[in-house]
Amino acid sequence: MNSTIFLLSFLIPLALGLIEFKLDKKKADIVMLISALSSLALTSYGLAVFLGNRGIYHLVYIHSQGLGEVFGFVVDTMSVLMAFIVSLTALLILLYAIDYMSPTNKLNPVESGKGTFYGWMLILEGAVLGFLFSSSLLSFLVFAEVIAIATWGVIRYYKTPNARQAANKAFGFINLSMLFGLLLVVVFGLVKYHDTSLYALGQLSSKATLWVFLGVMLTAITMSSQFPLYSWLPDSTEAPVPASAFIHSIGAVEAGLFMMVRIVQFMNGIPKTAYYVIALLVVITQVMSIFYYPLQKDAKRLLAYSTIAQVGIMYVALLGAILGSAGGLQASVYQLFNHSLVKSLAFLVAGTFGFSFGTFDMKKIKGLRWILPGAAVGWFLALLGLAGVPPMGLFLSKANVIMTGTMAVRGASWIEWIPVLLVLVDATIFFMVAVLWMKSMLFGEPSYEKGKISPLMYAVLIVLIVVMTVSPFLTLHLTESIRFIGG
Amino acid sequence: MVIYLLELSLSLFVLGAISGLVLEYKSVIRLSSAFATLASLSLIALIVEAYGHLPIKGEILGTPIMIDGLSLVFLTIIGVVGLADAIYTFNYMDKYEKLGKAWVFALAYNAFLASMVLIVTTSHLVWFVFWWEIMTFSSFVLVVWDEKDSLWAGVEYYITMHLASTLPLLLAMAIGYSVVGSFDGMGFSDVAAHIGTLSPGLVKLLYASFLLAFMAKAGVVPLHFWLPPAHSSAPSDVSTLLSGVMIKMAVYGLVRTTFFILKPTVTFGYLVAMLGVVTLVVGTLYALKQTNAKRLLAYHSVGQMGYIWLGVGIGITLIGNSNSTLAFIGALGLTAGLFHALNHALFKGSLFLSAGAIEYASGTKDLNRLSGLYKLMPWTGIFALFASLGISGVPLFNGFVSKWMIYEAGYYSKNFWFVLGALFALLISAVTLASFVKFYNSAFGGEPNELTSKAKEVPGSMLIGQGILSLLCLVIGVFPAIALAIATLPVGKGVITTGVLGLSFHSIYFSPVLMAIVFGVIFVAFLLLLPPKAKETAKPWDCGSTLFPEATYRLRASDYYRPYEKRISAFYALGGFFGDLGSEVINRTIAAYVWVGKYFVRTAEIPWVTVKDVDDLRDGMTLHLDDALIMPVVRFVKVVGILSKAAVLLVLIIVAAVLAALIW
Repeated sequence: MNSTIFLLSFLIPLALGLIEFKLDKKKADIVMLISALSSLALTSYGLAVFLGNRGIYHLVYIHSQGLGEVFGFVVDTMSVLMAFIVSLTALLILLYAIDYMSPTNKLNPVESGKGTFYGWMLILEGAVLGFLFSSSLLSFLVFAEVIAIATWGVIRYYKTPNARQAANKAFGFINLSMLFGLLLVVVFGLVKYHDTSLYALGQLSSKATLWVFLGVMLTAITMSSQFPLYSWLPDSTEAPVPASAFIHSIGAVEAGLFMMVRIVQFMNGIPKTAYYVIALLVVITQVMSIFYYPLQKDAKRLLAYSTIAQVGIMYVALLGAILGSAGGLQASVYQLFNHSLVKSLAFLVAGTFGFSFGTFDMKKIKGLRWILPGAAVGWFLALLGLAGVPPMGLFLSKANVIMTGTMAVRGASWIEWIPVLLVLVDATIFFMVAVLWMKSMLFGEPSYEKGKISPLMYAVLIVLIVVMTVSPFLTLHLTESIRFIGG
Repeated sequence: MVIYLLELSLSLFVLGAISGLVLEYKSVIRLSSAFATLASLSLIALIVEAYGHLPIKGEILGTPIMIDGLSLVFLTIIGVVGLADAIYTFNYMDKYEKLGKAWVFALAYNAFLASMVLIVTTSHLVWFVFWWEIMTFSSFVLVVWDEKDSLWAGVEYYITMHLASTLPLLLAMAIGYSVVGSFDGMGFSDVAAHIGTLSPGLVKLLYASFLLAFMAKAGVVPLHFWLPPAHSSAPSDVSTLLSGVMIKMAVYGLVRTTFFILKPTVTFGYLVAMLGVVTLVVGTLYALKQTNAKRLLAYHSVGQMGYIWLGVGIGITLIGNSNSTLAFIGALGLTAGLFHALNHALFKGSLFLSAGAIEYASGTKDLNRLSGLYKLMPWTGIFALFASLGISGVPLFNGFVSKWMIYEAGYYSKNFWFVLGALFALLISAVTLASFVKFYNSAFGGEPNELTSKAKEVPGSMLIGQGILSLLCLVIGVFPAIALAIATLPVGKGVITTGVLGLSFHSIYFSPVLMAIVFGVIFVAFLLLLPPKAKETAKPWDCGSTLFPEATYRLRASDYYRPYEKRISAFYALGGFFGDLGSEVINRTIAAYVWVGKYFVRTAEIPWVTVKDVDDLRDGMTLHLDDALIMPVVRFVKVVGILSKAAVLLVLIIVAAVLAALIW
């Protein structure tokens, strides 16, 4: 397996991202396009090569006596597929951003400074791609820090007081969780075992397993904005819409879950205590989002709470994996893929409200199907897709989560059933909220003049709709090769 | 060959679905209807081809397919009603031209039909639920078509389906998966083979989930409330598919899951049959007081669904009985239920198409305002008459044969409850007849009034659509053998012996053909002996007053059965009570939600505003638990004025710690 492809796929955005800070306007667009396109080309080429000879490849680049595995790659179905989806979604989001971040935007016209935005976005993309292939907790930590910094950069882009505060909150929360979580674990690993490789996780004693698990979990669930540190994500919608789309669909939120899946994949005999801790947090998160959905009138914030719950569903699937079912791992990753595409569509459509009407307030938008038909269709599909209506992929993945979850907890006590059943309740509440909003938003007398979005933005929305409808059927059987690796 | 025809049909539906690319409204509608017509025709070819070669197994799009007798019954329903409906749609949808969105119609309409074809042919539980959801989704899009009155009906329908049909199905699917453990292993037969390993509690949950899901879709009381609003506010070609085909999918699901995944048990059968009896009584008695033509038909759909469930329920209860006569009666009941499903698809489909034609021509579906349409729309009048006679169970029309078989199954079961149910069914059939006397007379009888005098006969394509279904009601009524050849497939041909002249079972013989001849002779004899007098028409006598318009002297639809409605007002009051109870539960739930929701929103900043509903909460700032814990510390740091420094410090600590570890 030639891993240079993957190495380049994240180094290019990181490098060109730094250059972007010095550019603006057309030049910035061109450099961004080069970076995003080459990244996608590399990951898709990598995917094609990988599908030709599948397996789990472990490559170590930097290894030292005292630090063990510092930097290496795990190339398997999960990381390769995920990298492909990340670079594809990133390209679509950035294409959309070309016209979104323009003077014609009614809510946030952007005259200059596009380069800075692209810069942060590309660094974010590069960091996420690097994060996916990481084979040690140390490099998880490093890339997570870069993700946190880039997230901070994109959220505060408009430099309004709210945006600054939201950026600081996101940065602060993630770092706080790292200080008491991942960082401690890494330090502990380096001091005690002189190694933080994922492959070493399988050999830990049961007590060490528990503490390492809980430490990593603290960081992971904060990145995924689960209870107790969850509110940075709804606040982060102060960011420009393309940035929100990125953060919510393939950014820190998904990275957190990805790291957790890796840990579960490599660990042996995770103690039941760990299960109960994470189950409790996930259940609280699910119940909370059930109460938050109906309270939102801001389209972006509604989507933010939906992200929290959707990622929560991935954690529910992971609970099954902790109980020992490989199906749980698969369902979790499958849900992640599907959610990425649907959620980025949802955000990009919400962006068109701000772009052409200057508001995200769903109460004010009426008769959308007359004034912005494309957005009406996109919003309809995205909201129902998030609620888990087929043919959108989240139906199959939620079904998978419930099915594997039920299988894992069948015969267990009623406590284990709670998270699984909550997935159904959560989807139902979101469904009702979504249908009721659609009724008032799509139909009736229009509340604004006919809106206008650029052909490029339309094209991105159409491509996303097609991709999100087709991809679940392609990835369904691919994810079935995801298994436990450790031990 | 059969699988090939199925693929052909599905490809034609796909072509129809994407015909929106043509862009121009009328061309899109014509093109998509043409493809749907061809697809339905190839379904009919499939039925002919598959007949006698069952079961047929295959694969489509990587999903397993199995076509057996049960599938064929429902494929017939989809094919025949789909054919008539697609032809009808050619011109009917012109009515909605100003709404545009023809491509959405093409997509949803074809997806709706195709999803139902896949529901009855797939042999995999997950794909069953998948197509089931596509069916609900596309039907929702079609129900809210006019974007006005239908909006709330559609939303109510969709939410009810999600709560009462999707959730239970997902749960059932999850329980099924837990015994087989792999996605590919979710075939009906695989799940059935492993069901024994489930604990009794989970098995009960499985029965309950399936029952609830199919009750909701079929509109069985008490989950029927969504049906009349949705079916009556949808465009009429869509109502035809909803009433004629979609709710039959619930019957398919019930029979498929009960016999092929679970086991038919006596308790479950009783439950199904009793739900059927309650449904047929409630649905039909409510239909009696409707004055909106489509609402009346929709309530009758509820009522007729009750007949089907009664037949199927008798089947589930008795089919496994050790007494061979009773087992035979069970098979008869099941066949009768399926046969009635087929018949209902024909007459109710036809009636909804006629109601659509009435609305198309006169602009209203209010029976109180309609009059004298027969003179202006004779073809629609004839077709509506045949279908009305069919649903009322008048001999020589299809409804009679299947209803009669249900009564017989009930009587011969020698079971008090089933005999009682059959008696109710018989009585309610008279109510159905009364209701259709009203329906037919109000719309077609009498002289045209100001509103209807401008009505014209509808375009040819709409007549063909009505004609196909309506004439089939008569043909099957006279030659039931044609339809019974298909309806008896699931239980085997031994149950009923059919010939050209008639049918016999259990030492009973009935020959519609002989009956037609006898009654025909009597009728002709009467005609010859007592020739009808020339009809005299007279204006109503208004005592010389000229103040009142003539129309007010008519017997209006709402006046027909007023005394009877009054007599059973206690029944309607009970229905009203349960309706109020339902709304009260919903209101209390929302109130409880608001009560909790208040703690999630800062309401103190909106003084003097009492929070009454969810919308009031949306203007406040959302509160977060973690904010409440951490923000005080942050504010303190802010006041001290080292926030940015604190952040830098945090990063420095992290870097330092890593470095320290490295040096170690």
